[in-house]
Amino acid sequence: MSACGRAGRGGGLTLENSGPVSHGKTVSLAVSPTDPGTFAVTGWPGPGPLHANGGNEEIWLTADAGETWVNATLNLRAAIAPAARARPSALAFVPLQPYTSGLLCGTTAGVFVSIVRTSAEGTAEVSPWTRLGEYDGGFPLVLVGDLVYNLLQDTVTAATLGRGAWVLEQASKVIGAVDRNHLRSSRAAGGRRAAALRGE
Amino acid sequence: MVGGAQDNCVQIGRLDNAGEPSRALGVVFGDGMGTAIDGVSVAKPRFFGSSQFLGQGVEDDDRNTGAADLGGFGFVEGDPADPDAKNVAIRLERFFPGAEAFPYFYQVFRLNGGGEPTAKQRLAMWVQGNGTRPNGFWEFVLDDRVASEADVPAPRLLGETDGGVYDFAFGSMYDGELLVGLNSTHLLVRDGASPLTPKPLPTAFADPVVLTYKDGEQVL
Repeated sequence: MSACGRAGRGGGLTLENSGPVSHGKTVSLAVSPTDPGTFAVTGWPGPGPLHANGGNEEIWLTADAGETWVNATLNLRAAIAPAARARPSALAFVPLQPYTSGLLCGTTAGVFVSIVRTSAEGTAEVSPWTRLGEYDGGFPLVLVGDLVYNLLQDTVTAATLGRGAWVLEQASKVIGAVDRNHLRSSRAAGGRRAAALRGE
Repeated sequence: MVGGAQDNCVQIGRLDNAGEPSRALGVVFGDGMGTAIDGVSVAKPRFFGSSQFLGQGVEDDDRNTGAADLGGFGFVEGDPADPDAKNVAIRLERFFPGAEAFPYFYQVFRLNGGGEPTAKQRLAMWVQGNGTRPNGFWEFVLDDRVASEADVPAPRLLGETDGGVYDFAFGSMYDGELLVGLNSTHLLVRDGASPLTPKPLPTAFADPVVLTYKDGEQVL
């Protein structure tokens, strides 16, 4: 972690925790390798220069090259809040099917994935975020500052702060399983709602 | 091979040294910032690395004149442990004089990720303008014949921008000419032959730290 100083109102020096990437990028961008016009963006909260630790981190998605946007943050901050601020620092798309991708996000607590469904008309839907890997024995609970998806090798490479570089092989298969679990849980929730409506 | 950037250099090493301790070679010294690899568009794979400010202005390493490393920006072609490997420094001050050309500590560069293999590697970066050049994206075309610093050709302007660009993508599977830039308030999109068009973001992100300059160098 790093800190930066600036003059306080009384003329003294105020120290502010500016987090782990005070000299890093303040924004991150991902472009879908297969779906034209589908981009995701995130960054440190603004406006203005990077010197504060406040604001809410957000992830935004467009499926029409920036004409309209969907807030894809959903549960990400809440999922990480017990450990730290989310600090979304890297994004990458993993194509699963036409107009369906896994959107990966590097955070202070590892890599999270959301399933993104877009359409040729430019609409977009996102699922709640799920952590990739296990807390015990799997991917470390650490800041992920970069993510790269290799379409030819179907691998995701994650660069961490101090815990090395990690490779996820058969990435589309692993993330496809997240998609299937999401569909199952969505259907189960739908079934419960239907049962409740019937008074069961 | 595996390569990466960390806080005191950009390194590359082999993954197939089973039974031996892993050992990587540093190729760009200073604060390691960005890396990229291309094994498709040229005959031999090239591993690119950069230090802070794309190697321009102040650095905490030496000036690298005559040193074995690549200075602040360049690529290694082939296995760096092979005597035949080529180390090619890309001295950006030749083309973009003044440290202000690259104002961000982590200055992003990209290799084109789209289109057909052409034996021409396309390297892009955003450059801050001055009285003689506009703010904009610039492209180097590095074919197989680029074997030394002197072979690096002059860049060409891909598109002008009104303000800074903090991250960008260049080329995709469906459009080798795709260019998407991002700063704290706007997305900049060039799709195919269209001009670079700004699109407002739905939120405002933070701007990176930009240092002051003294005698043409950053004040760290």
